Amino acid sequence: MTNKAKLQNLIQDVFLLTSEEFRFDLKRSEVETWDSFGVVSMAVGVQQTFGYHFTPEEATSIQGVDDIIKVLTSKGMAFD
Amino acid sequence: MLLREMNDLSRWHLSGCDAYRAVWPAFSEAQSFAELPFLHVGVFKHRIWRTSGEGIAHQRTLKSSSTSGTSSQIALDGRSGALQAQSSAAILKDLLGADQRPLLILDDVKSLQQRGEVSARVTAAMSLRPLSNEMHFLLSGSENAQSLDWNKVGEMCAKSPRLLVYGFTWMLWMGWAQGTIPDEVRAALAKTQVFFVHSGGWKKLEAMKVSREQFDGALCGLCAPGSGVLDFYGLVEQVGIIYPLCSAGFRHVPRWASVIVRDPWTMQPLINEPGMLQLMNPLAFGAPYHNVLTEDMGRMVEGDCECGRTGQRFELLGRMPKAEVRGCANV
Repeated sequence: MTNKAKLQNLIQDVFLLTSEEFRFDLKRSEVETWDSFGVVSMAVGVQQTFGYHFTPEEATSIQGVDDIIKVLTSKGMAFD
Repeated sequence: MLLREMNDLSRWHLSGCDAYRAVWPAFSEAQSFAELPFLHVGVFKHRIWRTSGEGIAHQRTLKSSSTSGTSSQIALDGRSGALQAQSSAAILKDLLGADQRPLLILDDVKSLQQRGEVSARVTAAMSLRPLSNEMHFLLSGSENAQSLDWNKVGEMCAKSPRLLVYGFTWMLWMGWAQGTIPDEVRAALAKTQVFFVHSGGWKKLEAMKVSREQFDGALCGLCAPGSGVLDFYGLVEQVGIIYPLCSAGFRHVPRWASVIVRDPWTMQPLINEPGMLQLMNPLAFGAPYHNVLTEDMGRMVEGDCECGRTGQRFELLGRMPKAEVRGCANV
């Protein structure tokens, strides 16, 4: 499974989204469940799926799926 | 100062919550904490109270873990949440220090993944976030203490010489103290300083005849010297204010909160006598849970504490007779 597919599964799982609701340009402000508890859930999910643990500052500064990809890409993961 | 804030906050709720105004239609100003309008904790089981006003955006509903089938439900909001997070962090830093360390939580990460709701357990665990630099959920199944991921514990022992662990009291006992710990993890724990923080109630352990000394000894005995256990009392109806047990056996009230004890028959405030605990704080804007009469018994104690802290303190004495056995009150 590609990293993109893994991330899509993770985001859908963490934020209780259907595949129709998911987009790679989805913003935090569009997702009801992406609140402070959602931030923690997402950070734990990223750690479990990709082995990278967001710093608390990184986790709270992420404003959309594209920001997650940017951080993980900067850590050497490919999302093409 | 605090009395003035509580008067202002009471008027805020009277202005923004019709149901609250219906309960206290004639209130204008209190001259003492005992005169302030309050609600009994039981009313939060029957409706979700909400106060509307400028800057208030309601978020998830915090649900207590009831043993009766009916949970208390508190409407959280961002403005109060920010203050409540600062409050609980300040209280915990006073006892645990400000340095950050990995936080291991006896819960399933799926407890965070609920639309519109959050549990008392997750909320209590999140109060430790400011003291953590990373967070891991140890259970697969939120009620399955035996599903504890010992491999993760071992991994974190190898990574950090100090760990913070949070769990409901009974879960720490069943899952950790009574758990089957692999030998290599047991060896790693013996070299790791662990601070266990727990809340949620002693009822299940009382039924199993487990004393506080046994509980603390079983947890700390597995870990390096300097490890400790912190038991805190808190209610979902007072989110943001927690009352850890001090070394002298008392609960200290932060400067930004107040507690009174009332005679259950006359409702008069009592000092040095047991009665019903009433808890208040100025941190709740989204619903009128700023001042609640609990079903817990306590005794206000005058004078400075042996532990060195000053200010209000009380002794928690248990549930009021015939009160419902609650899942999230640490009695």
